Amino acid sequence: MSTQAIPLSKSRWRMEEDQEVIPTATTVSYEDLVLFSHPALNPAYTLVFGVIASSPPLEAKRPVKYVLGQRTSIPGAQYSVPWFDAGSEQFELPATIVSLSDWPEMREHPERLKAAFNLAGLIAHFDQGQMADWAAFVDSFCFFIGLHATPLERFRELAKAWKTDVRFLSDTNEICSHPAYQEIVGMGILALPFIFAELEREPDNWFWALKAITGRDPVPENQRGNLELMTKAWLGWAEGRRKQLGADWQRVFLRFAP
Amino acid sequence: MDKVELKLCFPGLAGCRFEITSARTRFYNCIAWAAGETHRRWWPDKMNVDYWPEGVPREATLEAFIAAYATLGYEACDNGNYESGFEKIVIFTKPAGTPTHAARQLPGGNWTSKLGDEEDIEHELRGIECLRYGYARQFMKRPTNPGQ
Repeated sequence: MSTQAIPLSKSRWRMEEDQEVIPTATTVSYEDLVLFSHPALNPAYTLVFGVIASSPPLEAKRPVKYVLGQRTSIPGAQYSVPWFDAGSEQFELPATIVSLSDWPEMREHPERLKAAFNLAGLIAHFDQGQMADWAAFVDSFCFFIGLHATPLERFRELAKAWKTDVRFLSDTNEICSHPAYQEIVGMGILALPFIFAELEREPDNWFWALKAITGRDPVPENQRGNLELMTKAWLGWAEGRRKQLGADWQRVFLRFAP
Repeated sequence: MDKVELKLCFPGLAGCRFEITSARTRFYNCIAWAAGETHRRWWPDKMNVDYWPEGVPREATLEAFIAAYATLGYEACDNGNYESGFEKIVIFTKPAGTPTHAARQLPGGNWTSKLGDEEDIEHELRGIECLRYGYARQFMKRPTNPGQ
């Protein structure tokens, strides 16, 4: 491996002339590195674009993060991998971090590697606009985490406060204007999985939030007010979206499969 | 929720007789219960989620609620006194006139209310007047057997 000092603040880096690489993932786990970069598993990540190393004299030079780049690979070709010298203040990369090894509680999850792999595979094929959307989503999520507990914990707190306060009310306008409910609406798509799970457990007045967050309404006019049928309609819609999403992902993977 | 808790939430119930007459459920609300329905919630909400009778303005005003119950044959009347041969309902409003609740009269003169997501209760009319529900504002009635 050759060693180079390259500014880490740029969102696009060049390894060599005319070889622009978009850093789309980083990982601190060698296990992830092998999986993501194995050509048989993921042709988009055959290239380990770089290694972020700690800088002396703070500590001995050692790999801190590996950067994975999106670039078409040539099977069997050997690539030099640059090392980037970085102080601790520079470890925040402009790349999207998809490695779940940064999420300790997920390390033991059986779906961890699969999920990380799928995510990395999808992101690898993002164009610049999609990459900006994804970065915005990750940024929003991190912003939320910085403000509150995890989205699930925050949702549970808010839902409990809301249910307690509105239990004697029939006025749907008032029920759904409750500050806790409005905060759940404000969580946006982060709240959707929890709302659907809550609907499955116990149908309740989540339809305002669902309409506000998704901009959709799968409930037929003649089912208005019928909690059972509205719940069924929304859960069916969610299931349809999940299937569609799964099909989209599959299409992407098949398109780029070796 | 037991009767003690209900008395804490509705202080007016402490001074009168009432009974819990159902399990708690969210599948209908007080407006639907007064209308005799238990399979859907009635409210003219802004997001068009709940049921509201077709042709009636979708707005939370006393006039709209009177019009909604009129679709079931109810007409405005002056009081909640029991009248043989008639069914009565009452619409509660806050002092500013915004509807909050509705109750239906039972044979014999007592009233039945669905309390939000909680249980149905049989009660005296004034027992549930409170800051949350306001007070009994508009009575309506219809013949028990309109064909006769």
